[in-house]
Amino acid sequence: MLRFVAASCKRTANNPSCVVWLKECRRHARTSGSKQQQTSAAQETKPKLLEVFIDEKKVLVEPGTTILEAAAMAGVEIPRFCYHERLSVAGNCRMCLVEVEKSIKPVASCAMPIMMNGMKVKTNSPMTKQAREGVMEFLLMNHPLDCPICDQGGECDLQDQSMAFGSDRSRLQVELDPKRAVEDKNIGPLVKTIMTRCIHCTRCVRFMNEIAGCEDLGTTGRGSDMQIGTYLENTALLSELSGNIVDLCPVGALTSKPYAFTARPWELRRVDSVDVLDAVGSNISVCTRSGDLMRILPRENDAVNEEWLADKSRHAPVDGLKAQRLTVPLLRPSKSSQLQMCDWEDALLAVGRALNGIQPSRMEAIVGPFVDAETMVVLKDLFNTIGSENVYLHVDSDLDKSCFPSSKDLDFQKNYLFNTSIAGLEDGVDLLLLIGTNIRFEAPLVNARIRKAWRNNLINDIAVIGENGLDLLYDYEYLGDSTKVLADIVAGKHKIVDRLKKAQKAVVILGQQILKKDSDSNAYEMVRALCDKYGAEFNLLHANASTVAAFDLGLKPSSERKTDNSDEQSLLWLIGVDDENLTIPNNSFVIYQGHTGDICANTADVILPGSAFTEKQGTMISMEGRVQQTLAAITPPNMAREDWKIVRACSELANYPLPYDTLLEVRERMQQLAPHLTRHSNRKLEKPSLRPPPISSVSAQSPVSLLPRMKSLVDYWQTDAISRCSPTMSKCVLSTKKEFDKRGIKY
Amino acid sequence: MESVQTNGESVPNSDASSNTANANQTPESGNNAATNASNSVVILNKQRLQELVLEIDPREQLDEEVEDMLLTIADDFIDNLVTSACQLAKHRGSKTVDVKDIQLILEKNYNMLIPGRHSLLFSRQPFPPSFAVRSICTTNVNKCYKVVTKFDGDSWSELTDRAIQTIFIQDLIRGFFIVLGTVFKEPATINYPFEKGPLSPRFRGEHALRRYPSGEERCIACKLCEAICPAQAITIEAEERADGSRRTTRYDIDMTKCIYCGLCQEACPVDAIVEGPNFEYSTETHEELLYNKEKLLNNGDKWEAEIAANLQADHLYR
Amino acid sequence: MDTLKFGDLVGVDKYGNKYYQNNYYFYGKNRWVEYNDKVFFDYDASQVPAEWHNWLHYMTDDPPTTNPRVQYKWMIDHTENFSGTNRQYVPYSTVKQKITQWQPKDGQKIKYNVK
Repeated sequence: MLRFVAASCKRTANNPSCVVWLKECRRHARTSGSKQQQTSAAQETKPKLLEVFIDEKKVLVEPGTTILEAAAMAGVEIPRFCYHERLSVAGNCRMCLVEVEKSIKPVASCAMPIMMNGMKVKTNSPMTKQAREGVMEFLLMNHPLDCPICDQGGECDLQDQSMAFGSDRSRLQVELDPKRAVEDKNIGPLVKTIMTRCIHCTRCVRFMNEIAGCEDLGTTGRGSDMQIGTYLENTALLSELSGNIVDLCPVGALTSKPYAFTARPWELRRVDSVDVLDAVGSNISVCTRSGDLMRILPRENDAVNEEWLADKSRHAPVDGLKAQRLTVPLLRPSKSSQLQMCDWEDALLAVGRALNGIQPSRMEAIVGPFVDAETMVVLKDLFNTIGSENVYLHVDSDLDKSCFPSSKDLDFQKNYLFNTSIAGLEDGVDLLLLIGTNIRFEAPLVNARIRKAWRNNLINDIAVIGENGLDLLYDYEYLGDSTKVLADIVAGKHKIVDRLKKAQKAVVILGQQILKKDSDSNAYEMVRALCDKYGAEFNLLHANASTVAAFDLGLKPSSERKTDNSDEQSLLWLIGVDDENLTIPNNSFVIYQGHTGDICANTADVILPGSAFTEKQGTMISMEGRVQQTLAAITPPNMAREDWKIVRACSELANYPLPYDTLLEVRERMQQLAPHLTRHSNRKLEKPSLRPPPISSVSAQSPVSLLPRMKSLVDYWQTDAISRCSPTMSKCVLSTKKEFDKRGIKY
Repeated sequence: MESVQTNGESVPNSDASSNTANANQTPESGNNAATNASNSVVILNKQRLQELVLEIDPREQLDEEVEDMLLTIADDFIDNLVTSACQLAKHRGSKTVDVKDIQLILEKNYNMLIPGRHSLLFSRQPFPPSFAVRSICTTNVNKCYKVVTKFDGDSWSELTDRAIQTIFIQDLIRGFFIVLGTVFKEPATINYPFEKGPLSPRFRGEHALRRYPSGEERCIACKLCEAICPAQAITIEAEERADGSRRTTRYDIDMTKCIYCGLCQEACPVDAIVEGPNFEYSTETHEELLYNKEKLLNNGDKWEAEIAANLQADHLYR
Repeated sequence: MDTLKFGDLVGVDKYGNKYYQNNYYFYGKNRWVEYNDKVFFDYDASQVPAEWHNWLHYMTDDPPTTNPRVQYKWMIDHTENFSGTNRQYVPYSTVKQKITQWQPKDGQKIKYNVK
C-alpha cells in the first residue's frame, strides 16, 4: 500500500493532472470534518502554489496539502499506520512524525497542512528517526509477539515498519509492566478479531463509518484502556463491505475468518482477474496455492471498485467453488434412468446425436449469469450454423420482465448500459433517481460510490422509487413504489419534475431485479421516456456479469422464449442457468453445462462440467460496458474443461465444426461480431456514441409496484449458484438473521 | 622388487652407451641421442628423413627439394633452439645448458612437450590437454607412459628367489601371519548393531513433531520451516481447529528431498519440528519415506525421551 | 551378540534388551546391547528404544537406570523399523478432499471414481 502511494504520487508529480489529484487528496483530508467545512473548502478561491522542501527537494503544492502528501509527491516515503488516502485523517498513530524546521517538536505529517511558503521538512534527520523509534517502541510495548500464529505475518505493516524504522531494543520490562490484553470481539462470520494486536489506528472505524455506512464499530475507553469494538457485545457488522477492514488493518487485529490460518502470503500466487458475482466488474486478485483457491483480494482500479470489494465477491467463490462442483461428465442413458458418470466421449456423442436428431427450430440455448463472452460467441455460432436463432440470456422467472430491455432495444448499447459510468457518479450529478432497485445489495460498490459522492456533497439530491424504507446508507427522498409515479413524472405532474428540469446532470438508474407482479408493467419504456423527456442519463443496473456481453452479442432475454406444449422432441442447452421455475418443454433433451450443480442440473440429461471464472480466461463486460478479462488462476477440477471448448467439441461431433480452435481465434471471431469486445478497457472506458431514437409516447397501463428482489442484507448473501454453495455465505445469512432478530428488524 | 624409475636430472648427463644398453626404451633416450649427436653428427640426414616419412606413411615419397627444405628447417630449428637455450642458460648464470633450458624453449616457443618429463609451464598436468598438443611431435602417445615396475633381470640369484617364493607360497604365509597377528588384537571396527558409534546430541536424523507435556501438539502451523526449507521438502496445510487454535491439517516431509540441514528445527519458534537422533529408518520403498503428520507425531511420541534429553544437553547454546 | 565379550550389565529395557558396559574396551566398543533372545536372528539396530539410545550412542553417560528419562502418558512404545513387513508405514493424505462433487437432489448417489 505504502509503495503504491509513493508510486502513484511519483506518477502525478510530473503530470498536469497532479492538481486534480491534489484536490482529491484535500477532499479526503477533509472528510473528517463536518460537511459544512467541506463546502467551504470547495468554495475556496483558487490559491497559488506554495513551495515546500522535503529533504532539500523542492515541491510545489496547493495550500492545505498535508506534509505527507507533499512528501509522497517528492518521492519520499513516510511511514504511517492510521493514514489512508481514501479515509479521513485521524493522526493518532504518530508514526508519520517528521521534523519541520523552526518547530520545536516533531509534527504528525499526515495531519499537518502546508500553509506557509518555504516550509522545510526533514524526514531523515536524527530527530525524526528518534521520534519514529520512540513511537514504534510504544506500539510494540503492547503488541503481542505472536507473529508465528498471526495471519497478517508476512504482509504486516507493523512487521515491515518495525524492521525499517524501529529500534533494535525495547526498554519494556514485562515483569514490571505487563502487556495489555484485550478481549476479542465477535463481529460476525467474516472478520476475525484478535484485539490484543490492535494498535488503535482506527482505520476500521473510519472505514465502517465513512464508506460502509455501518456505524457499529467505534472506540471506547481512553489512554491505554482504549478499545476498538462494537459498543454492544456480540454485534455482527451488518454491512456488505466489512471484508475491506481486513485489508485496511495494518496489523493482525482484524483478519479474515474464512481464510484464518490457511495460507501465508509468501506461498500465494496472485492472478489478476475480474469479479463475476455482480455486474460491477470489480478488479480482483485471485490468490492460489498449489492449485487451490485461497482467497480473493481487491485490486485497485479507481474507475471501478477503487480498492474495495463486496463481501460476496470476496468470500463466496473461495469456498463456494469447492462445493457441489461438476467435475465429470454425467449422462442419463434413458429418460427414466438416473445420471451416471461417463467419459467425455460418451457425453459429447450424446450431445452430438441430439443436435443432429432434433429439429433446429426446437432447439434452445440459455446462458446464465457467469458465462464469458467467448462461450456465448461459440454457442451462438453453433446454433446459427445448425439453423436455430434461439440463444437466450437467462432472466430469472421471478423477475418482472418488463424492466428488461427487449430484443428490439438491443440495437443501441446506450439502451442497456450503465451510461453514467461508476466513476461518473462523482462527476457533478445534480439529481439521482433510483427506480426499482436496492442498489446497496445489487451493486454494493456502486452504492459505495454514491455514498462517497453524497458524503462529499457531490450528490445532494437522491430520490427513490421502489421499496420503501430501504437502508441505502445515504439520505434520499422516497417518491412511491408504483409505475404510477413514473407515469406522473413523464406526464410532468410530479413534484420532482421541477428539479429534474433544473438539473444539469440528472442520473436515472433502473434496477434489473424487480419482482414479478400479476400484471406486467412497462417500466423500461417509461424510464426511457422519462430520461428522453428530461435529458437525464439513463442507466440500467444489471445484476449479472454476463448480461452486457450477451446483449452486445445479440442474445435475447429469455423472457422472450416461446414455448409450446407439443410433445415433439426438443433440446434445451443450459449454460450455468439455475432457476427453480425455468420452463422446460415437454420431451426435452436438457444439456446442462456449468461448474456448479445447483438447481437445474437435476433436470439434465447430459451434464458437461465447465469451469468457473477462476479457472478460465474469458472476457467479461461490466454493467458500464467495461471490457475486462478473467485469467485462469487454477486448473478446472478433474475432467472439467473451459466452456467454449466444450461447445466447440460438441460442434465437431454434431458435424458442424466451427472454424476456430484457440482462444485467439475465438476472439477474432468475437471481433467480427462485436469489435469492442476485444478492446480491453480496464482503465479507460469507451462510451458508445450512437444515440437511440427517443421514445416519445408510452402507453398507459395499470400501475404496478416496482419492488426489488433483495430487500435486506439477509437476501444479499446467497443469490446465485456460487454463493448458495458457499458455507461462509450460509453463516453470513444466519448471523445476519440473528442480528436482525436481536435488533428487532424485520427481514 | 618394485622400483620406480626416477626421471631425475641425471638422465641427460648419463652417457649414450648406458642408455642404449638399457632394455627399457624410455622416451628420454631419443632426446638424449639428439643432445649427444649435436656435438658430432648431423642429427637429421636425408636417410633419416626418409625413414621418418616411411614411419608415417610407407607409400609417401619426398621430392628432393622438399627434403632439402625440410632439412634446412630442421637445421634452423636446432640452431634457434640451441641459441635460445644457451641464452637462457647464460641468463641463469650457468655455464652448462641444462635440459630444462631446452624444455622451456620447446614448451614456450614451440608448444612442444617432452614426454615423460614434468612440464615446466603446465606443471599440474603432465600431459597438456589435447587441443594444446597440436604440434609437429609425431611421438606415439603410448610412449608417454612410464614403466614403474622394472623386471629385475635374469641373474641366477634373482631366479632362485622367485622360484622359492612361488614354491613355498611365501606371500600366502606372510599374509596368514598378518591375519594371525590381528586375530589377537582388539578389532578397530565396532560391532554394529550391538555396539554403536558415538553421536552428538545435535545429531540431525529422522524428523519428529513434538508435543507439549500436556500432550498437545506443539506445531502452530506458522510455516516458517516450510518457508526456510532449502530443499522444499516440507508441505504444510493449516486451518482453524474446532477449539479455534491454529493447527496443521497436513504436515508432510518428503524425506527423500530432505537434505538434513536442520534449518526447519532452527526456524521453529516452538521447538515442534526437530531432527531426532534416529538414523535407522531406511526403507525398502520410496513411498515409505514420504512422511505425513501422523508419522511425524508418532516419531515424536516414540523418541520424546531422547529428544528432550538432547535439547536439554544443548540448551546453553541455543 | 556374536562375539565373546564380558561386561557389567547396566540395565534391561522393557523389550528385554540387555545393555552392558566394560571400559576395558576402548571408547566406541565399551557399551553394547544384547538384543532380546526372543528375536533370535531377527535382531535389528532399530530395536533400541529412545531411553537407551542416547546412552548407547555415547550422547550421555547416564543410563536411564540411574537417570530416568522423561515420561509422559502420551508417549508410545518403541517400534523397530518395519520396512518390508506388512506393518510398514504407508503414506496417506491427512487432509480432506478439497473439492466436493455434486450429488443430485433426488437422493441418488453418483459414484465418482475419479480422484
